[in-house]
Amino acid sequence: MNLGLTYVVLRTHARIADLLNKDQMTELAEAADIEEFLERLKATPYGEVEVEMSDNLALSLERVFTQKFIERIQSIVAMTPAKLGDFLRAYFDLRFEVLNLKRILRGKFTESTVEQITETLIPITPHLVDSYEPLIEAENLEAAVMLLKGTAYGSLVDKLELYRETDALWPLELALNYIYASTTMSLGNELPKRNQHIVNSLTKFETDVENILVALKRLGKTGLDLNEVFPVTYYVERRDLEKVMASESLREAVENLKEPYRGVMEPIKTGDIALVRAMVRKGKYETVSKARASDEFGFNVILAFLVYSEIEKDNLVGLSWGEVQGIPSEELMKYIVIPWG
Amino acid sequence: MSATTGVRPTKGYLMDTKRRIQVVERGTEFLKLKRDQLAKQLTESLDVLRGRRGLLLKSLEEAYGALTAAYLSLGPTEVKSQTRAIKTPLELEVLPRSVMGVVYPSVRITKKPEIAAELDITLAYAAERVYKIMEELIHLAEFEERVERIAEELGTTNRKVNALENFVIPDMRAVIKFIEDKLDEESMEELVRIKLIGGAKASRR
Repeated sequence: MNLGLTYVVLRTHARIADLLNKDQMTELAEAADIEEFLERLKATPYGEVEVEMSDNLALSLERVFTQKFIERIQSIVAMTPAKLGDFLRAYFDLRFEVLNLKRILRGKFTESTVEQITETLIPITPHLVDSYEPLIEAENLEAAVMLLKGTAYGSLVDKLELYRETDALWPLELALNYIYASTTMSLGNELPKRNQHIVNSLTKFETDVENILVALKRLGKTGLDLNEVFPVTYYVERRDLEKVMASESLREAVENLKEPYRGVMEPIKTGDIALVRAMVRKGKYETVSKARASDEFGFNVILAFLVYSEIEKDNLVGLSWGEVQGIPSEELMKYIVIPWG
Repeated sequence: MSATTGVRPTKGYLMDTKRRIQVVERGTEFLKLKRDQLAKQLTESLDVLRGRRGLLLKSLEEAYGALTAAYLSLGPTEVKSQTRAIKTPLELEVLPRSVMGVVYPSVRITKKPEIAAELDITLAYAAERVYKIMEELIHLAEFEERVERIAEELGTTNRKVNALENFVIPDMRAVIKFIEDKLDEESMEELVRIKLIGGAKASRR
């Protein structure tokens, strides 16, 4: 048994106990305004959060919570034995980088300014590209994509033709999703055998859910190149996704799905589309929790903690935005997933 | 000032006034028909307007809920980034249309905003709701303007009918009566004069 790993796992168990529970989240959600929210946040492990009270307060707070999450990853990675630590860094850096690339491409697509694009980026060190600056400063979207030639994202260049044909970003965004899923899977394959399962389950669950959501948005559309729209599939195959698209209604499409996906998509039947994201988070939580339960003193605990932390970050971003907007706490709590609370 | 001030009590003027009163009375009847039609249109439109406003409020609530949920689920930065992928703006064409002579602007959507990115389903749903509201708002604005203009026209038509019924036509009738009285008086005087002359001539013989 790796003593280093045991130490990190024990430290991680302690950190899991520090995650905000349901009472703490409810207390934050019930704050009368954002000042009170920040005051209440002081009493949590987040401590004092310094932000400028400006029009962009919600965006500033999102940056703060993202930064705190990145620091959490870094502190865990710093303690974790090299191979596992490298995986965790690569896993989260890749997630953020794919998101950053999507945001850069969207900005270039609508000719946003360098500042407008930069303010939406997650502050990470570029992972599989050298720098984001040349991409942001590229003359146009096509020039930005061409700069990715020779990197892990080089296959985006092949999607330019479809992009030109459709004058739409989705071919490039779906290609990025594919790169994220396949790279994560190959990263996971380098882990010791007993740790591969959690990574595979998580990646497959995320990819399947995203594929189902893409299919649901294309309900009733026929004649699509399924390989183009769903470049990678796992438990939900292309023929299942085709059935989803051929359904007459969202309700029917959801009912035809198999578990656990039917459960995740259940809110769609009642028209509460946004609740699906909360259910996806819950699904991710359940996936990693199941893996964690199978090995309470291994790597799974570390990955589970980081997934919990990411969900907590998303919750706090949502809550702080809601507080800035003055949204009632009942409404806010509806979209918050606090499974460990 | 009396309606008969400056009136020439001649047969020609009487005939002219009688012809004019006929035209005015027919015009008044037409205006009354227009007024009734406008009133009917207005009543119907107000009912529709009330219904549409109610529906719009419901749609607004739905869209606001969907948008709030999208922000809560995705975070403001992601929403901001995804909404940047909407390239084409909404384009409208405003043309004049007419109902019972009432001209109002008619709005036609010539280009819908195109969502070119792979929007998250929550945001795509919210975007659909917001677009639906924009469409409803445009049609409601068009309808409100139409109702407002019909109401204005109804007011004007009503004032015209009242003025014609209560002032112009009674005045013209007074003028006719005045001329007819005058002409009767004159013909009576003429008759008396003829009789007197006839009597005088007979006594001289």
